[in-house]
Amino acid sequence: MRRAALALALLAPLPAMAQDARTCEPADMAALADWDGVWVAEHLQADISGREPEGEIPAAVAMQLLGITAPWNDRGWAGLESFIRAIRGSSAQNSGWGFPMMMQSPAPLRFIVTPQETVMTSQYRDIRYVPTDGRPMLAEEDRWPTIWGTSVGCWEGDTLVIETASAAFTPEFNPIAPALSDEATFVERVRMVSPDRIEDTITITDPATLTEPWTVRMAYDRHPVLDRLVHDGDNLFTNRVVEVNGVGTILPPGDDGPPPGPVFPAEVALGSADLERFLGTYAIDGAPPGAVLVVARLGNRLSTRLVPAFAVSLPLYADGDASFHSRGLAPMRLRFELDAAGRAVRFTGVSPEGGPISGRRQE
Amino acid sequence: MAAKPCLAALAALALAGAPSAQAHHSRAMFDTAKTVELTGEVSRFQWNNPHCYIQLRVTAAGGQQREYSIEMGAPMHLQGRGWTPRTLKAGDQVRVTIYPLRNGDPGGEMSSITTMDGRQLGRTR
Repeated sequence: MRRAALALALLAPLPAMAQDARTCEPADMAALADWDGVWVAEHLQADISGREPEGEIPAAVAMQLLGITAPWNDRGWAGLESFIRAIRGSSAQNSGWGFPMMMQSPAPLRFIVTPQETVMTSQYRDIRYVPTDGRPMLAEEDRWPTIWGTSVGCWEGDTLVIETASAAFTPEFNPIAPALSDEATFVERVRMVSPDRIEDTITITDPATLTEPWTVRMAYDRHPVLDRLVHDGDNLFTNRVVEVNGVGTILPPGDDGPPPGPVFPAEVALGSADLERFLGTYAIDGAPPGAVLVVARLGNRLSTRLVPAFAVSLPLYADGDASFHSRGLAPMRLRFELDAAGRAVRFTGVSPEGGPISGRRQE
Repeated sequence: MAAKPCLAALAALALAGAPSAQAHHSRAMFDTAKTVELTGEVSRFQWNNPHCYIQLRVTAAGGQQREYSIEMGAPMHLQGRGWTPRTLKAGDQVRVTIYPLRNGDPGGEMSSITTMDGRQLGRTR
């Protein structure tokens, strides 16, 4: 019986994935060790001015993927003209490069090669995942346009062949990019040609914007200085360039540091016996049953916990014999009333929202 | 066939227009046909996207002080040339050559910078 079941299983058709599976992992991972490190696109290592060094070709010419020599059709030309209008304006906001521009931008790159996936990431946090586990390109109904597209890769010897689709031109994210259609497809052949140079030939097919397939040959040099990628944040408020009467200038630097914080009453040190008077659980007037304020010890201070609204213990700072304030839940302030034995029985004060709050001890 | 776009217009695209919510701006605000040499004291070194800036306090022969805002590339570009946020600090004395702002404001785009004894700043790996 068991033997018959096994025979039937062997005769059963293979699942679709198994039929499509290719062998795409690198045959020799050790041979790819040199892909590690930081790479910069050829001609695009800027000087400290942010411009190309003297004698280097202009950045926009080096960035061939912008399309100045692409075989555009009318729609493609309109996209390029729109791009030129954008860069001639006083400012064009970018949030990253996206694909394909991240492969030919001034932002250094890393290639993180593992057997089943290669990840490409740039200093401006662009990231591409390229699975090399043999999966085919996702069916059209399973993908949608994104800024970085959907990629699959396959190692052919020492060459990583990458197919990419559904890479959306998104000028709101990065207008400095070719205005290809969402239907554009990309095939790259990426290969290390020497320990300090990787080449990437990309062929773009997009009948909606191109009259014929467009091939760009790119290269990356091992970065002479960087051995890691550091991103220094998006500080929109630090843009100091403005136009005054149509002429650009640099604003003086803003004030240093964050805005001044709130000012709290001076703290009064209370002894342990004094603090003990306030410990307990207080029902909050007018609140649903179960809403309580819990006062506990926190080292040489009290803590307060509002249950269930803010059930986290935070320090309560004494600013008088029986008055306290919270700094995390400012402007919350509490003044306790004591009974004849000196034990707190009731409080009034200001809630974290700024309204009145009061309550009495639960026995 | 439509004409190719003007390469000069494209060349105006600066590497400094690198992203990170950056504001790319035209280089037209700087007079790149002219350079100005400045010697002064760094009052502040601002390490920020989209541009780093040096605030340089320059004292004229008559004793009057003027503070220049000197624009550099993005932190990424400076890192690539061996700079860190600690490469300059307030009080450092430097020699700077800038392309000045066209509107006459005290500032410009960095062309070169050295220490007073002529050393390059930034380190190599």
